[in-house]
Amino acid sequence: MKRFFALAGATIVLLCTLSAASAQRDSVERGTRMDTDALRDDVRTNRLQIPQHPIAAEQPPQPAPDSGAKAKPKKAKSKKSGTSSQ
Amino acid sequence: MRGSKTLLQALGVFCASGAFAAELDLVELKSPQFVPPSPTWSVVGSLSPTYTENALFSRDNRRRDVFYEPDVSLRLDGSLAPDLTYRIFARAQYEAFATEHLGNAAIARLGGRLTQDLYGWRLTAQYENRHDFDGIFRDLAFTSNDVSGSVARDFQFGNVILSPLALLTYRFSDLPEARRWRFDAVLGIEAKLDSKWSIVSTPFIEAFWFTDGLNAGRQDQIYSVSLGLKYNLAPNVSLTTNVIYEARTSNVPLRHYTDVQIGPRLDFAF
Repeated sequence: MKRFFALAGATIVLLCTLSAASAQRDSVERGTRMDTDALRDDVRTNRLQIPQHPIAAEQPPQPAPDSGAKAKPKKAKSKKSGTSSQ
Repeated sequence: MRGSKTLLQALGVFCASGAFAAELDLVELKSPQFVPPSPTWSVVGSLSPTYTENALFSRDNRRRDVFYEPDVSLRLDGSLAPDLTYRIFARAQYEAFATEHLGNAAIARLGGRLTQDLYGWRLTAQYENRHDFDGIFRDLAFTSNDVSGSVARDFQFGNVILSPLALLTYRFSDLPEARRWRFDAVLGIEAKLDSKWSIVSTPFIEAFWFTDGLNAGRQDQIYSVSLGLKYNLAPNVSLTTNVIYEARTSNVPLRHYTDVQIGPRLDFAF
């Protein structure tokens, strides 16, 4: 009788372990579609024009000290566009 | 007298050339040096309801379903040199199925990449820390660190743009079954019909070599073809309707599957 319980217990533990391992393996599978989508995005978004927002205002160019003429400082652009690289 | 005139001319030429040389030195000193522009941030993403013939990637138990997939990235882009750029990004995406909730999954990523422009080719090295969840950010399944290198370029032939990309990745993970090499060969194709409409396609081949755990020795290959019609709503917003066919082969027969996906997709960048 003791042997039966030990065998049954061991079988249940083994099944639970295999089930948990299988579930973990399925977790690995679930991300596949999003990974392939991310791969397509690397090519697709390359052609979207990405508005780029500077995190700091650009400094106006400093006039050369020996230029003599008064250079008017240009306004810093707050927004510029570019195409994303990959 | 004539001799002194010649001497004066020679002296004049000598002085003038000296002054010219001094000017050249000044020009060299004042030559513009690369000043890195301020880094810029942007938000890039997509929304897509998609019909799939095989929601759970099953060989024998094919379940049809519709899933919704939002995908949003926050990026910080900057330059270290005229031909060397960097990007730091955070990205979140999930898949929510209408009926097959067992297939729900989410990924959160944080990473950075360096891209070197070399004779028109983009060489990229990337690191990505990612968290894979079962359900929509419900249970953390495993955490990984992906290290990858890629080479890409755009070729334009009239109204057609071809964008080949080759990528090699190794995934380090706290889950042994997730550790693997991955190689991708992708060809992005876009044929512009006019300023708004394009025909797009992204065929690719992926190969996986799993290295640890129960998946040790497993080798998968995914073959994918797609055909879509893209409409540019604005320079930074596009709507694409795609049909995708995908097939996976493996040395583990249980891992074979085929899938067809159809659906519209809204891509945006702000």
